[in-house]
Amino acid sequence: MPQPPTSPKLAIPAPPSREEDDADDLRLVEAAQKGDQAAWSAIIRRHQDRLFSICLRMVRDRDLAADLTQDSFIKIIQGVDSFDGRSKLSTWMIRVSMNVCLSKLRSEKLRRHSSLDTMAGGAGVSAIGSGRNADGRNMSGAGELDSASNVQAREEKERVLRALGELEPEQRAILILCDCRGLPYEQIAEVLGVAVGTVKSRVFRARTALRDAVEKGS
Amino acid sequence: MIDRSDNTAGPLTEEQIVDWIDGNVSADEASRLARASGRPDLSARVAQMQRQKSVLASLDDERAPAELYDRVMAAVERDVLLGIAQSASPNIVEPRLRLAGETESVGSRASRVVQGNLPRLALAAGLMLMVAGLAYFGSVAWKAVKTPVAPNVVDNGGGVSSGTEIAINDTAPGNGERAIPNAPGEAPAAKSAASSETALAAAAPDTGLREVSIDRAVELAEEGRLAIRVLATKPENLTRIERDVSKPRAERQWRMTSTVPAQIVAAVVPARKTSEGPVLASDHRNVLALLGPYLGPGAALSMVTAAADPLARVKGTFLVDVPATREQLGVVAAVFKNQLSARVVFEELPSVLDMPIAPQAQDVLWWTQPPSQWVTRATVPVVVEQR
Repeated sequence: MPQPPTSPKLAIPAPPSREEDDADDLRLVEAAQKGDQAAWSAIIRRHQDRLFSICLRMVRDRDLAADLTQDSFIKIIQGVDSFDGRSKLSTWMIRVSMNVCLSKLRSEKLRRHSSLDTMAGGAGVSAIGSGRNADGRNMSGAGELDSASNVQAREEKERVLRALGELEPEQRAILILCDCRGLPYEQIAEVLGVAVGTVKSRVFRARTALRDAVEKGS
Repeated sequence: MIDRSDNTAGPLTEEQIVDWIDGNVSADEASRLARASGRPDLSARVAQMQRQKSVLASLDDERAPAELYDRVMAAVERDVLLGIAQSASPNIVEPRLRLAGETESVGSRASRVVQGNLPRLALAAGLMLMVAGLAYFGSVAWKAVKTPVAPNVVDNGGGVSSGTEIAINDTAPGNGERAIPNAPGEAPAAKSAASSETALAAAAPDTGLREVSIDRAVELAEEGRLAIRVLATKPENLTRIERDVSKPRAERQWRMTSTVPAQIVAAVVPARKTSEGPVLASDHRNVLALLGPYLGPGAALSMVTAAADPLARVKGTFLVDVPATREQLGVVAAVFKNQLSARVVFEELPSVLDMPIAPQAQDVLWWTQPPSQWVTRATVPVVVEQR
């Protein structure tokens, strides 16, 4: 059956590919290295949700995550001259952000406190796991999960997120990079500064720990 | 009994299980791996991990707070203004790698030569540092012997605990104690400030500004020549103060802004002792910049001053708009003191600074209040330093 011709004016443009995003990032960072303030504005706006999500999943507190995201961007801006374009900008930014989070968690041993908060019914899982902002607004298309038929899926999501919060920070970090963000192992290896084989081994152990934590929690 | 008849690929590895969880193995390969493991429940466990992986993968990005961009830019602006950016922690900075095709500059080659000889250079620098350090500290000690030191007056007031006192250096002769009435709504802080009057302080920071008593501070505030220096043990709590102060409270009579004009920062922030500031080891682009301060007769002094760069200690500058009264200055001092575990010092500026701060309704409508409540307001720069 012949299809009606599509008007070029009505054609929906394809979203930019990952390669195009990376090329844009490189252009922006070059401009930023030359002191272009607008380039920084664009970089921050492009990456702030991503870095904030990473920080939020690491520390499970929106205010603290915002502070850590801010610290990450400050370190990124201060260290931009050292970015040489060999790795992707996003990889480098995630690396800085992850270091900021891990430093914070190690220094304050926040992990234990946040676990207790969550067990006590704090905002940790409810704000993070349900795909909603603190004001209750849907962020991630999670509205369909509210239907009764998906209660079980939502409960499993909360169990997994709670268990994620109980892992060691390093294990949590690698699962966030690998399973939440879907970064390829090579990129995770760049972020963590280890070999790909090591990444796979750590991913396996982190997944095993997550499974055990889920079982303990349920 | 484990059937290993088709286990040609050797024993099961973590990598193979990861590939299995990721869905990168065929069904045949999966059943072979299950058999090879000797664990009848392995397939179920892998399936569980796959479900958990898909749960994590289903999480979308959370939206960053709307004000995050403004916060970042404000913080960067403040850091740049204070020069803190120059002393950025090098551990987050990746080593600069040469891009493919990029020609190596003379500076880079020199940098490599320097890097190759770093142990010898370090040894030579160490020897020079030791000799010069001995000479320097010897001369300082000689000067100290010759210079009479004025004794600090310390009065703990019979029961002022170290946890509640604010150190205020009272150099005014004959400046007696007097009771401070508590302001309504802020009694504890004012009381703390009042008790602080008894704790008189130690050496002033290296700013060249003169430390004054709280009574003199009131006079200077009215003249626009007062600065407050906060020597904080816990400067990380600064954001908490900023957050608290940004929330409106009827009883609070002062407010604070982090927008500080450059000329005010320059007047209250301690001067950098070295001409070029600290040089990062990661900055190999300028070998002379890296080694220059550490060569020659002034090497020891350069290294000492770079390590103790006063500017690197500055954690923030603010303008505080406050009634120029003993009570309210005490309240402000107490807030910084308590939140940051700090020593708070009132300092006299050498000249009047133009202190721009947006007036609020109560500033403009002061005449609508009874005359008994008329009070001069002052804008005071506050510098927070790491103790």
